[in-house]
Amino acid sequence: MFLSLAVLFALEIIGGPLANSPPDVKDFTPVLSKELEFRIDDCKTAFVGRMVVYRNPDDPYEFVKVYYRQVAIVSERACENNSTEKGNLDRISSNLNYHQKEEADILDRVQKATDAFAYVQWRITKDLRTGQDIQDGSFQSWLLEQNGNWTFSNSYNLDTSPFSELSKGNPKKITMVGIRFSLAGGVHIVRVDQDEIQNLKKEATNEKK
Amino acid sequence: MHGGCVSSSGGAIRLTFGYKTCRFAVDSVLCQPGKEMIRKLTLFLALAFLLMPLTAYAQFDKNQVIWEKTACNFYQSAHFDFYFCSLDVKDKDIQKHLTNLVAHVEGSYEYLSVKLNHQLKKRPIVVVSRTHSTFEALHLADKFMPEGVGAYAFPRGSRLLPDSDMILVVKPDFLPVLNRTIYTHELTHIFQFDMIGWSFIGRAVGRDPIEGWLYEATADYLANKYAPYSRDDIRKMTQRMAAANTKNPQFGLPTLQMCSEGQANPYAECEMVFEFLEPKYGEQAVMDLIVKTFSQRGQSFSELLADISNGEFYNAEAFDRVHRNYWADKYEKDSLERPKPYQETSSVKGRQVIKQPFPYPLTSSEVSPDGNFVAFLTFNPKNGIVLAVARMLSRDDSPYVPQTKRKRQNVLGNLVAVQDPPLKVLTTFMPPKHYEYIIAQELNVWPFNGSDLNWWQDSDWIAKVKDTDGHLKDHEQELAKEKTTPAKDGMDTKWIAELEEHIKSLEKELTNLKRMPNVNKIVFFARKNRDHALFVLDANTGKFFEEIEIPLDQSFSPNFSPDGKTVYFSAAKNIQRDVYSINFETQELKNLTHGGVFNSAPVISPDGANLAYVAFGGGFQKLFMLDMATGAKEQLTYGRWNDNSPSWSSDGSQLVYSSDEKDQIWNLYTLDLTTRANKQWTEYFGGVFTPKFVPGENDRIVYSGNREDAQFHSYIYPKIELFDARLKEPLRISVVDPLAGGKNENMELAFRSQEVVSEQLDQGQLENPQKPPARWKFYGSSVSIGSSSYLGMFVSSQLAVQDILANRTHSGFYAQYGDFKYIDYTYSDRSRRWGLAANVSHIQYPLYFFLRDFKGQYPRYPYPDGGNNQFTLNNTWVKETSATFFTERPFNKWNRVEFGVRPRKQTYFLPLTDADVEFFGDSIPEIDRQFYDFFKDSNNQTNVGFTAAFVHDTVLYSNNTLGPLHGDALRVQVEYGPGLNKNSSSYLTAQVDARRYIRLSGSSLFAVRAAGLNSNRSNGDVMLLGGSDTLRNYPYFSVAGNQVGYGSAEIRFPVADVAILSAIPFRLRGVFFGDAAIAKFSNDLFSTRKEWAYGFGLQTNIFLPMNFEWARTKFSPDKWTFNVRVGFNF
Repeated sequence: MFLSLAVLFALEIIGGPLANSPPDVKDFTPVLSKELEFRIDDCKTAFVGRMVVYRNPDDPYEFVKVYYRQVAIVSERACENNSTEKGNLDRISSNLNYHQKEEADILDRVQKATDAFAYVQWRITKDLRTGQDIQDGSFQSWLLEQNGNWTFSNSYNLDTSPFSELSKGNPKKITMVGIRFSLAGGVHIVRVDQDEIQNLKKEATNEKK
Repeated sequence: MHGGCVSSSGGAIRLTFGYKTCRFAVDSVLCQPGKEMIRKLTLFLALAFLLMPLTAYAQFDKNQVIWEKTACNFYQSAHFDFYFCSLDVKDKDIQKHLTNLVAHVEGSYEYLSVKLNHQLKKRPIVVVSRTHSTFEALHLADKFMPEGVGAYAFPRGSRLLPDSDMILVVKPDFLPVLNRTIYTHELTHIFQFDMIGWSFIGRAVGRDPIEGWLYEATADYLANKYAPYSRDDIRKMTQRMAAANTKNPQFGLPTLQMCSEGQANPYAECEMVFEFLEPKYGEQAVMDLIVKTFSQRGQSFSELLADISNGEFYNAEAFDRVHRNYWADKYEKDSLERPKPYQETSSVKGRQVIKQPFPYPLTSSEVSPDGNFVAFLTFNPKNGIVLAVARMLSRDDSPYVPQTKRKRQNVLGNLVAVQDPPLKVLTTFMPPKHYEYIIAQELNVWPFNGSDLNWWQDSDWIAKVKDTDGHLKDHEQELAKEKTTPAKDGMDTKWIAELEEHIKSLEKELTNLKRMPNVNKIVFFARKNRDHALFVLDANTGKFFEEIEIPLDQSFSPNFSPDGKTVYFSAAKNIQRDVYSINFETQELKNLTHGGVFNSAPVISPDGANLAYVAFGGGFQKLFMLDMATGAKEQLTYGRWNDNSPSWSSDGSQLVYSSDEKDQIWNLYTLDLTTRANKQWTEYFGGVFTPKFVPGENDRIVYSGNREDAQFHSYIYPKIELFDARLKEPLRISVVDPLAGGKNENMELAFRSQEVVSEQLDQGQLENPQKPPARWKFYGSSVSIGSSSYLGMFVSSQLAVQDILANRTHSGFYAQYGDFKYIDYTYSDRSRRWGLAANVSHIQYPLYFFLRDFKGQYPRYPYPDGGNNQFTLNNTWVKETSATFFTERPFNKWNRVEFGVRPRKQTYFLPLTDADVEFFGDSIPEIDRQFYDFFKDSNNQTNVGFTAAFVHDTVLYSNNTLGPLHGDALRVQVEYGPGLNKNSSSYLTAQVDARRYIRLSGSSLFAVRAAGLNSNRSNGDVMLLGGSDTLRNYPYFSVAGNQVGYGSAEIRFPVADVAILSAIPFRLRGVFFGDAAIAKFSNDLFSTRKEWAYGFGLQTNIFLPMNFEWARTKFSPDKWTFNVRVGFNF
């Protein structure tokens, strides 16, 4: 009995490039799109990809969420405490606006070349009693492992967590450097290099001088 | 920190001077300020003088108690900095809850940032406290946090600067579905603050104001979009009742103006504005409206409403009309068509239990096991939440008793028909006697589950009482019969006498039975010290049988075991809520459920074999049963709705409970435990709460319910009343079949795409715990510079630097105006239960800084004598340098001890010299020469004073009395200074100040005060009396001494309560007072003075507390004097 359960379980999690391929969302309609980012600190944001939710035009209850990775960039915005910005609030505000435009331009450029690394497909239905959308059935999730294989599961959820490591500048401190995705043992990490963060700090210091 | 030397207010530390007690000494003349200088200084010092009476409060003050160590762990998610305080992050239970918390906050962040098209400029800080007591112990908000507050958010730092930290403070042991809504609600506030961001300056000067209600209404709207609150209480119930009450808008659906003016609940009711707009204009248009409200400058909300409606809502009234009609269409007809809980229908026969008018809600009803009374929790303006009882309705209707046949009482010489009062309050204690407040869901705590009280009676005792009562009634009937039958012989008289004797004996026996202890008990939880304590009230004696402080968090819903020796309840440990039991004899505490989600509302079966309770399965709460012998758990109900508050029938065959299965409104259901037949009995509009079977009857239920057709009395409390319902035919019957879809049903309340991916905690961070950054923040910086041609430069500046949790503060203050100087530095640490503070200060000031009153009067001692009065006192300057080390430990909110060490050097600059005194001789008034000698003898002293004080404060304040209402306050302080050298003689000073306030009604009280000082210190701790609120109508501070006794008593009562222009409340209060004092100096420079004053006065608040007082005084005994003063009552 235990053996047969284990076999069934193993069939649920199938690794390898020929296994259950991720859904094709080419003709799907994007309904939500957002940068995949995390805040390193109050001033610096790391952009590591993009997340897009698609709806199946032929079945409005079916959705796919796709995570794309890109060339990671670290952006430092106007920050009162330790940035080079000085002066009155209007000036800080205009600098922020300028910076946001510059940031958007760079993101536009890097996002022209992105790779999808995670998919989650699901269906919803309407609970007539509460009027709320609820999940219909289970998730189907795909994760591209670092070795290039896709992991698929329809019983495990795709997990995500901050990815941190010891700071190069101060080994007693932990620095968040990325986002870790995992699915049934498969792992994919989108991250920035600590050196990029350090370089940004140095650039800011030099500009200040 | 409090009183004594160093006190704090709103996180900023300030030095306060004790109870009008000044310290004196003298050296040489530095400056002799003339009258012109004094006049100019008056302006500068006016505020300080006006605030002087306030410092009298500071010497008492209640305590914010840190009941346990609040060490925090630091954790970073993608967008938030978490401070996990008083939580063991390595504990698996805790990790499970924190994972949910972090995932929900991150999900909410993604949702809000997309919907509001806004990225936060900084990483918000989320402070997580395990439970209410640790949440309340944080210094980030008011020291007394109501238990209904689940989270709060605020910008930290100056609103005028763009670098404010955004702080969200949460406690995760609330009802899970409610927690999710609250977190998103408060996170929305963070977005609101951030969106307003750069335009704070414009808002600070009054341009482009955002009406306050919009913050809460839009946050509630967005929170319920992302994380809807699934249960029929708080929100949906409030909205439904308001919408149905269209004929009485003051208590129904608010207008926009009512929202703007704060006359309506901004959360549930004003949020309805956005719920109305969404179906009309679409979700995106509503989101755009919200974005514009908080990010677009210069447009009022009414203008935005006109825009969204293309001019249809051209003004507020146009909007209100359409808004009101929308909700009336949705709810009003429904409300009118549904049966009322006091009516008989095909399914139940309903009756209202208490018919006499009573304006406050009645909750958690519980019929006594003998069936005679019903107990419940309600509100009483005098005592707050109270336990009360009323006579229970008999099963069959009693005939109406006309007034002519009712009991009569003599009222002012007339016999008047009287009715029994509607209820009797059993807990007439004034907090904090026994406890701080009783726990009553819906009233002072947001709904958890189950009933807040339970009643147990000994079955043998019930039988004896019933038996004796039956005999008594039989004998009384026999006696009445004998008396109406014509007398036959002497036997009748003898028989009647015997009957009367027997009746007396039975009455006595019944009285004794009804006073028997330990057989008739009511249990409830009440806040005492750290958390909820279990109280068992002996209903026969009125005394507490048990009072147990439960070493768990947030205990709720007590339930007696059949033998009355054990109580079952729900409580949380490490956030995990389980059902526990406590045995009164052994005090053993047992966890009965060990896991599950939010196990609550336990009720034991009549045979003690099974325990029914409520737990969550996904987003809905269902009924469960625990086999007490095996510990096996069984889910009793299934389905995508909430079930709540189960209660057993006396024969143990069925459970009655409330469920929102139909129409999402709590209504009455029963579950037959044999057939598993589930029956719905009511479909009331106002809902059914905590239903319970009437003991011994398997077809009658007592419960509390909301009446939508009631005359509402209170905006704060819903109009919840008690009803009983005799069950006839169920409205619907279904059979619970777990296999037929129940067990595998999706129980998530709502699906959001943010939850497609599960946010997990970063194990790397958990394994390498990081100390949270202190994040010191610069606060309250201000620099004022001015100049005077006479006095020179005026400069003042203050600053404070405080850590993120407002535990540690460095503050500095500098002020100079001519020769007046004040330099102060204070460090305080409030991170532990022992509060610590260190202070260094240097001050140089004229004595009249303390002695001059707001009218410009100086002390006149002992009698006014024209231009020469008090030359010495009014022209002496003091220079003092001191350091203070201070610590305090609160025992609870009301009592604390304080200890301090204070090295201090005082130098006095006198306006006279020995040569002057010798030269001018008797032309200098005696009083000035005496004071000169007094100061000169004690000048230039350096002391190290060791202080110890006990402080007690339970005073309740009320707007209706313009000050204290009830309670007492005491400060006993002793200071000892050892003799160190010739300039430091030893001394002992003892001070006491005791106050007692006895409430006579909601707006009147009797107040009494006694104060005393005894000091042998040569350079004098002096108590000054006269004027202000001591020895009223005496010249200001005209009585002094270092051996002083003072007493005062007064009656304060209301004179008028009116609303000026129908809007501005104006309260006028009257007072009759009597003051007496005895004062002398220990060195006998002045003779002992015995002073008195009595009279009456009026008090009101016109921006400041104004007092108009007429008094006869010993100072001026032949006439009534009149005085106006500014200051609070003592």
